[in-house]
This record gives sequence, structure tokens and C-alpha cells, in this order.
Amino acid sequence: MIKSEKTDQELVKLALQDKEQFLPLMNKYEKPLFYYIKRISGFNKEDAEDVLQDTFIKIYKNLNAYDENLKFSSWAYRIAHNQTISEFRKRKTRQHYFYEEKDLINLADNLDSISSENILHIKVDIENTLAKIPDKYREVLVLKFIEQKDYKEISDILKKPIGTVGTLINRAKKKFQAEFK
Amino acid sequence: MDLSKKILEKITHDKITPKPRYTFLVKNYLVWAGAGLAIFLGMQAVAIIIYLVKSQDWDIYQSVSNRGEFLILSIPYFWIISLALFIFLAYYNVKHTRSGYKYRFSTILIGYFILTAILGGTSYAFGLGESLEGVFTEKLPVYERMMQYRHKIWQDPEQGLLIGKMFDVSGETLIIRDLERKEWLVDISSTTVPDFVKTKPGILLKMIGEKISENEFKASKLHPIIPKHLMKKPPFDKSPCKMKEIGACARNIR
Repeated sequence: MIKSEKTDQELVKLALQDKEQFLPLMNKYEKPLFYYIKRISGFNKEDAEDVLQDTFIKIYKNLNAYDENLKFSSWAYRIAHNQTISEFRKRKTRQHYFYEEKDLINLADNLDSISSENILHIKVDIENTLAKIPDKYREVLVLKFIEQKDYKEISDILKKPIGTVGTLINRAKKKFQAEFK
Repeated sequence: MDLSKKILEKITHDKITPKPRYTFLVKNYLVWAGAGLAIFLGMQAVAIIIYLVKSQDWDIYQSVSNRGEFLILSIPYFWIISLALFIFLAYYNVKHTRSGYKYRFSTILIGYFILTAILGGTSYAFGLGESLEGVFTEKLPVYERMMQYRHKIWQDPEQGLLIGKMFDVSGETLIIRDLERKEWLVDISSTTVPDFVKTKPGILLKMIGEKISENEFKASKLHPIIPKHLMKKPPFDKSPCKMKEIGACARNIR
């Protein structure tokens, strides 16, 4: 896998001149976007890879639309998010929401009702709760507490005002806690 | 082979290329142009709303029997609904700009109101609201008919208010058909009537006076409804026409 020292903005400019230069960008975001797609969709590995492929192709096609005032990662997450939602609407199937132990610890540390000490015992309960709550709440919980994005990044990814993101996160926490009990 | 390399191969194989920059720039300019248009239209609507509210016959407010109805009829519904549509147009376009998602609906709404109020108020001060309303009334018969509800408060002969279209003149008597299509003989001997009124059958007249009988009304004040920007033109204001010059005078005020 090729690693690059260049900034994302520089890589975007290079990729516009030479498609081979798109590879370092894909290498950098392949794993994070793959897991993000899985976390919000519940797609299996193959479906998530299909969505990821479509996401990267869309990113490449729209490179000229990239606004440098935005973090490239936020823009890439936004496209991955939209692609996942659109693919989900087409397929209407979800297999299983899978979260790693560290994801759930991150989540538990921010939700009063869960102790991260015995996380393995309640892993399934947390996954079931995340599967049960509305998509809009699961998405912000994943972005905030698992992907560790700040409010500004979440606002840029979901294309919602920062105030609305704050409100959504609070409601999502309450909804999660109510369902978890 | 890792997924990234596979995707790069697909990009090469399918000859996928980035869309040209100008397509995104054009789209961005179009949504900003749409937002600008919504502000421009909103500004005109506000100017006309201010004009219509201010030009309502507030001097007869004390004499009308139903003040609630007077207030309701004073609201320029058409322009308020239009303004709401322009707000939606502005919101849609701002939301579709690159950074439009950062703003809440309430922020866009308040910003739009402040901007259109300032611009619309300025336009009104320069007489744009009055001129535009005059143009709409003159050029769009549908608009004129639609706005006639505002005159309904004058249809109250018991309270000394009458409105109607003049369709004939006989000496000091005008023959009027009111909004309910009832005919009235209006005695104008106690009031001054601009000469051109007598030459313009179909002109809408507002009158204050007294109901004499079931179809007779004595006017003490009479006010023809024509756009003010036409009335301002000389020689109407400064040198009233003589009867024999009425034809030329009527042409002048057009």
C-alpha cells in the first residue's frame, strides 16, 4: 500500500492531473470509509466493498467540485454517507451491525447508562440497541463517538447546521439510553 | 489485489474522468442567481406591501361600521403569499449553495426578512412600490379584479360610503354601478369633480356623502381610483381641463 506525505489537498490537485495519483488518496481512506459504511448500514463485507467502490468513483468524478475550505475527509465521508443511504434504499437489506470492541468502549464512555468495564458481556445488547434506533440517531452516534468526529465535521458530512447536529446528538443519546434499558 | 488498486483499474478501464470544473461553477452561479432573484422579487413585494398598507383609506377608518372587516380587507394577501413563495425560492437556492447547509431555516428566514425589508423600504421610499402597483393594475386586468376586494369597505351607503363604476353623466348627476351591480344616481353638486372623470366611463369612484333614497346618493367628497403616478402628470394637477379640452386632457393624463 502506498503511503503519501502530501496533504489531501495536494493529492486532489495531483489526481486531477494524473489518475494514478488518486491511489494514495484511496489508500488513505479505504479502511476508514469501509468501516464507516459498515457501521451505518449493516451491509456485509461484499456489499460494503461495492458501496466503497462506488463512493471512490463518485469522489474521482467530482474531484473538481471539492471545496478546499472543507476537510477532504469530511467531503469523502459525506459522499460515502450519501452513497450508503442511496444503496440501502435500493437493496432494503441489512445483515448485521458489527462494531469492534474499541468502538463500543468509545460509545460507552460517552453514554451514562453503559459501563465500559463489562463491555464484552453487553456487546450484543449494544449492537441490538444501535440497530433498533432510527437511522438519523445511529448515524450521529457513530460519527461522534465511534468515528470521533467533531461537531463541525459532522455538520459538513451530514450537511446539517452545527446547532442541529448538537440537538441530534442529545436526542440520539436519550433515545439510545431509553432503548437500552 | 487490494480494493484501491482494483478501483483504479476500473477507472482506467471504463475511461472515467473527473467532470469539468465549469459544470460545478455554473451550477453554483445558478443557485446564487436564484437566491438573488428571490431577494429582488421579495424586495419588490415588500415595497408594494408598504405602499398598499400606507395607501389604504385610513382617514375613513373612524367612519366605517365594521372596523375589523376594514383591517382584514387592508391586508395585501396577494403580495404576502407572493413573498412567502419568494422566501421558499430563496431558502431552496441558499440551501443548494456549497455552504448553504450551515444555516438553519430560521436564520435564512430572518436574514431574508431583514434584507428585503431594508431593500423594499428603500424601493418604497423611491416610489417603486407605487409605480409597480400602478403598472400591475393597469396592465393586468386579472390583478386589478383580484385587488378589488380592498375596496369592499366603501360599499356601505348607510354609513355614507359608496364605490362604483361611473357609466354615464347627466348634468350634475353621475350614474354609478356599485360593487353589487346596483345603479345609483349620485348628486355631485356639492363636490368638485375632476373634469376628466366625466369623460371616462368605467372609471372607479369612491364617494363620501349621504344616502338620500334607495338609489340616490349625495356626494360631498369624490375620489377617482387611478394610479397616482398618472395623476401627478401635468396638466391635471395644476391646470384643470375645461370641458371643451377634455379629450386632450384625458389623453395627457395617460
